[in-house]
Amino acid sequence: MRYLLQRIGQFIIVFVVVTFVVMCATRIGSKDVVRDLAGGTVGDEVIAKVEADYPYLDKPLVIQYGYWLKDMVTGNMGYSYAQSQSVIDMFQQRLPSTFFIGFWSIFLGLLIAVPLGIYSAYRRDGPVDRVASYSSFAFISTPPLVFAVFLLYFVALKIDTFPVLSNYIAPWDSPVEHFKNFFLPSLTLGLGLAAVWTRFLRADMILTLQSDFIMLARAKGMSPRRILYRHALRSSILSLITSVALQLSGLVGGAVIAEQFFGLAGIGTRLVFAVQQNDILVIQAITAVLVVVVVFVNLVVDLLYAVVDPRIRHARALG
Amino acid sequence: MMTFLKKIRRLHPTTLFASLWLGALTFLAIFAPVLPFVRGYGERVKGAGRFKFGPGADFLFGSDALGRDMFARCVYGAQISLRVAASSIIVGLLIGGSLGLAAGYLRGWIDRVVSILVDILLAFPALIISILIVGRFDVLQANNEAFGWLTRTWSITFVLSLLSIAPIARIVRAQTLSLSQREFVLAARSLGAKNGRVIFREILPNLIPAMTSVVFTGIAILLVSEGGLAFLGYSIKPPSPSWGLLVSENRERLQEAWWATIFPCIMLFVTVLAFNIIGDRVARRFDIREAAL
Amino acid sequence: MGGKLVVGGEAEVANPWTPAAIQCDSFCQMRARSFYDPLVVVDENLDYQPYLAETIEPNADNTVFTVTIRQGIKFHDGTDLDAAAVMDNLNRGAKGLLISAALVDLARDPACFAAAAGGSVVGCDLVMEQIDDFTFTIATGKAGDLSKPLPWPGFPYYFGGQWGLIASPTWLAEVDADSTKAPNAVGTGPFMFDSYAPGDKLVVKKNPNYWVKDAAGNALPYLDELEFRVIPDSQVRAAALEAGDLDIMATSDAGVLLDLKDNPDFPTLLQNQYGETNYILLHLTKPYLADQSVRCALLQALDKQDIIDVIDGGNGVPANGPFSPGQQGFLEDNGSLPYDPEAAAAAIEAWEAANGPLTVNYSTTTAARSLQVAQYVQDVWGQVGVDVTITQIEQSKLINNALFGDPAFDAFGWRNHAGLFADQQYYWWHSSAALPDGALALNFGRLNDPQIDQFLEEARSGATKEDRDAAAENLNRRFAEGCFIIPTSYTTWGIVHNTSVQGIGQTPTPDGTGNARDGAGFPGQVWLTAAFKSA
Repeated sequence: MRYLLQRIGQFIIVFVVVTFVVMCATRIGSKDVVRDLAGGTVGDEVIAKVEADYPYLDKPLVIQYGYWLKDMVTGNMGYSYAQSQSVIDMFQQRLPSTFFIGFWSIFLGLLIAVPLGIYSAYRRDGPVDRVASYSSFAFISTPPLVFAVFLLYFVALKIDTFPVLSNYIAPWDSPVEHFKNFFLPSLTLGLGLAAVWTRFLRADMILTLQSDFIMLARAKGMSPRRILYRHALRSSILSLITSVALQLSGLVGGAVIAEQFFGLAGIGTRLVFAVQQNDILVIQAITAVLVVVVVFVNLVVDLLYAVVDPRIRHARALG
Repeated sequence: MMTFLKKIRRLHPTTLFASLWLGALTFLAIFAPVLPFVRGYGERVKGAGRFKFGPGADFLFGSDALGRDMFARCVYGAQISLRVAASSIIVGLLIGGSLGLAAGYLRGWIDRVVSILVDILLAFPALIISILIVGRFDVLQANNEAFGWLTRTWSITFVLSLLSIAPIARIVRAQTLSLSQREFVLAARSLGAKNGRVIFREILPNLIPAMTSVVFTGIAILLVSEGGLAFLGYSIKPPSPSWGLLVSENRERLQEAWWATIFPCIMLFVTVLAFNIIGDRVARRFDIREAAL
Repeated sequence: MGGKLVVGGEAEVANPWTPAAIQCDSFCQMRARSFYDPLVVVDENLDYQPYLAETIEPNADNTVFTVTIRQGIKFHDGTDLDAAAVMDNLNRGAKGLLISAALVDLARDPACFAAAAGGSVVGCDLVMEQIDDFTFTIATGKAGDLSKPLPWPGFPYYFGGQWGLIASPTWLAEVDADSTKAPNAVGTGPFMFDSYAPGDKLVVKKNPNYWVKDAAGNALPYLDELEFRVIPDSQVRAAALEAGDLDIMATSDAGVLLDLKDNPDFPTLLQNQYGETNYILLHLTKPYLADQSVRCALLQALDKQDIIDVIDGGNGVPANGPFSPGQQGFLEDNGSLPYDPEAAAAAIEAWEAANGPLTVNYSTTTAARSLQVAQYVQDVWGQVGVDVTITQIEQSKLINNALFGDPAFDAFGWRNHAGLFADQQYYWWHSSAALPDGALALNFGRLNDPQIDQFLEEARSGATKEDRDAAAENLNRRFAEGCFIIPTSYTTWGIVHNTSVQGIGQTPTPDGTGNARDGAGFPGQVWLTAAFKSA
C-alpha cells in the first residue's frame, strides 16, 4: 500500500515537471504569446477573445501553469484558434488513428514474438533460432523510417489492395477496410517491436527452462507444449509486459513517421504541425496525455509486479 | 602481423563486417573532400537533373532531382550524422556517466536525487521534446541577435545529448553498483583509499567496457533519432545531406527514382546495424549487466 | 449521375470558414465555392455576370454601383438572402483585417472616416445605402474618403472573389457569440457543410434546394457528396489519384503534369491562362533588398530556362514579370535583365565590399519541389557570393510570415498574381497596403514605389480601356526595371481526374447563356456545381 502511494506521488511529480518544462519550452523565443495562441493572422476581435479566455498570459510562468493544470483537471483542454477546433475535438478526430497504429503494432509484435521467442528458446541454436536471431538483430537496427520506405515501395505501390493514402476507417465500420489501411503502418513499427521482444523472450525463457520446476515438470512427463506455454511462459510474461510498457514511449516517435508516410491524420502529424505553429495548448495537451498514458501504464505494470512477486518488489525498490 | 591476422580470422564474421563497414565509412567521411571519385554534395551535374541517372558507373547511387550525385550526398550525410551522433553521445556520456557513477558509488541521497532526475528525463516524450526544442531554438536564433550562433548543429547536439543522459546514467549506475560490491574495491577502501582514488583507479577502468558498449549502441540509437528528426525537417538544414533529409526530399519520387530514397535508407540501416553489432559484441565479451528492467 | 467525388488539394486553410477571415488559396476557394455562392461570376468573354446578384448597375462615371439581389434564395439554415444579408457580409469583409486592404478605395462612413483622422479606417462601415429589401448601392472613395469618388470600372469583379462569397448572417452572428462555430459554414451554395477535420478532410453534401438549374431545367448539383482531402505532397497526391484513392486533384507541379500528360486514364484539364507567376518574393524593407543593385544582381544570377530544364524537365515557360501571357499588361519584352552571372557577382562583390557579407534567409513551403528550387537558388546565389539559408515552413504559416513581415522573412519562394486585370493586383503592390513589419499587410514585400502606385491607380481608374491597358504595361516595365520581384516561370495548373469524372468546368451562368469560368478566371480550382460521375 505504501508502495502504491509512493508510486502515485512519483507519477504526479513526473507529470508536473514534464508538462511544466514543455510549457516553458513553448515560450522560448516567443515574442507574443497571445498572438501565438491566436494562430497568427487574426483581427483584433480574435486577439481580444484570446485575451478574454486566457487573462493570465502576462503572469509568471508558474501561475500560468497553475491555470493550465486547473483547466486540464476540469476537462477543459483548450482551443486551437489556428485550426478553429477545440483540443478535445481534435483528440476525438485524430486519436483513433494513432491509437490503432500503436495497438496493432504491439499486437503484431507480440503475435510474432511470443511463438518465435518460445520456439527459439526451446530449440536453441536450431535453424529457426539462428534465422530468428539474425533477423531480430537486423530488424532492431532498422529505423521505422527505413521500414516505412520499404513497405511503401515494395507493398503499397506495387500491390493495389493497400492504399497509398490511408484513411481512418473504424474496425467496427468495416474490418476489411480497417485492415487494409492500418496493416502497413502497424507493420512499420510492429516488426521492430517483434524483434525486440523475440530476443527478450528467448533470453528469459532460456533461463526459465533451466530452472528446477521445469526439470520437475519434464520428469513428470508433461508434454513440451504444456511446459512451454503454461509454466515457462507464465514466469516470463510479466517481464514481457514490462518491456511492452517501456516501448510505449518510443512508439510515439514511430507513429509520427508511420502517419507521415501513409497519410493517416493522427496525433503525431498534428503535433508536428502544432510545433510549427507554436499552437501552445495543443502541444501541452498532447504531451500531457502521452505522459499520463505512458507513466500510468508503467505504474500499473510495476504494481502488478509488486503484487505478484514480493521478492521482486523489494529488489526493484532497492534499484 | 601474423598474430594480428590470426586475431582477425578468429573474429566473428559479423563483427568483421561491421568493423570494415564502419572503418570504410569513417574513412570516406573524413577524406571525402579530397577523394577524386566523390563529387561535392551540392555539385549539380548538367543533364543529370530530374533523377536522370539510376545507379551506374558514373553515378554510383544515381542522380537526384537537381542532378547531384547520390553517392556523394550519402557519404557527406555520413559525415554529418556521425559527427552529430558521436558528439552527442560523448556529452551524454560525460554528464550521464558522472551522474550514474556518483549515484552508484556514493549511494544515499545522491542516489535518490539522481534516480528521480533520471525517471523524469525518461518520462519526456522523446520526439515531442526534440522537435519542440529544435523548433523553439530556431525561432530564438531568428529573432535574437544574441543567439545567432545557435545553428541547427548546436540545437540537434543539445537535444540528442539531453536524450542520452538518462539511459546512460542508468546503465553506468547499475554497473557501478555491482562493481562497488567487488572485492578489489572493498579491499582498496579497507586500505583507507579515499573515494576519488577508488573511483579513478578501481571503478573507472572497469567501467570502460560498459562505456564502450554504450557508446556504440548509443550512437546507433542516436542515428535513428537523427534520421527521424531529419525526415521531419528538424535536423541540419539543407543542403546538408543528412540521410533522413535525403529520404524526405526524395521519397515523393520513390516509384520512379527508387535509388534516391533506397540508398540513404540502406546506408542508415547498415550503419546502425554495424554499430549495434559492435556494441553488442563488446557487451557480451565483457558480460555487461544491463540495468534492471 | 450522383455519387461521391474525392478531391485532393495541397494545403489546409487557416481561420476556417467565415468568408472574411479565411486565408484563401486556390484549394480553399474550391472548397468555399462548394458551400458559398459569389455575387458575380466571370463568363467566357471575361465579362462579369451577376450570380447571387441579379443586376449590377454602375453610374455614369463608375463611382456608385447599384446592386440588386435575386429573390427567393435561402441560405442552408433557412435564412432569406436579401440586401441586408449581403450588406452584412460586405461590411464584415471590409472591416476584417485581411480583405480590407483590397477595398481601400471604397468609401467609408464619413463620421468614422473623419474620426480616424488619417489613421486606419479599417474599422469603419462602408458607405452602402439600402434602397429596398433587395437593392442597395455602394460608393467608392479614394482611400475611403467619400468626398473623393474614384472611377472604378473593374470594381464588380471584386464581387467574384473571396469578398463576394455570401454567408448566412444568422450564422455569422452565432459565430460572433461563439467562435467554435466558425468551421460550420452556412451559405447558399450547391453543397452543404457536413463535417470538417482540419488537416485531413472536409465533407459536403448535396443541397437539395439549390437555386440554379441546368439548361434542361434539372436541379443542380448532380453529385451527392464531395470529400476534400488535404495532401501537401504533389507526388503523393498523384499516386493517390492513380491508385484510385482520389477522383480528381489540382496540381501546379510541372513535373507531375509532365508525367501525367499523355495518360489516357487520367485526363488533364490544363489551366494556363491568366495564371500565376512563380517568383521569389523579396522583403523590400530589408536594407540589402532595398538596394536595387542587389535585387537585380540576384535576378541576373538565375538562369530561368535552366531551372525549368533541371527541375521540371523543360516543361515550363520562363517568366519576365508578374504578368503571364494573356493577362492584361503582359509584354514579350518588358526590358527585364538577362541572365548574367558575371554582372551579378560583380554587383554583389561591390555591395559586400561596402557593407559586409550578404546572407539571405530563403523560406519556402514544405513541398519537395519547393525544396528543390530553394536548393538550386542557394547554389547559384552561392556562386555569386551570397550565403543562403533555407527554411521550410508549412504554407499557411509561410503566408502568415509574409503578411506580418516577419523579421525572418528575406526571400520567399512564392507564386501569385493570377487574375484577369491589373486592377486585381492593386492591393499586392500599392504602398497604401504596405504597412510596416509587425502589422498585417497584403503588400507582403512592402513595395513602396511612386511609379508603381501611379500606374496601379491608372489601371484602376483610367478613362478608357486603352488607358488601363497601357497602365498595366507600364507596371510591367517598372517591375522589370526595379527588379522588385524575381520571376522564374509561369505556373500552369492542371486539374487531373479519372475518366469517370465529367462535367467539370461547366458551371452554368444563371441566365443559361453560357458557362462561368472556374474560379472567376483564377486558376487552380474547378467548380463542381455541374460535375457528375459516369459509370
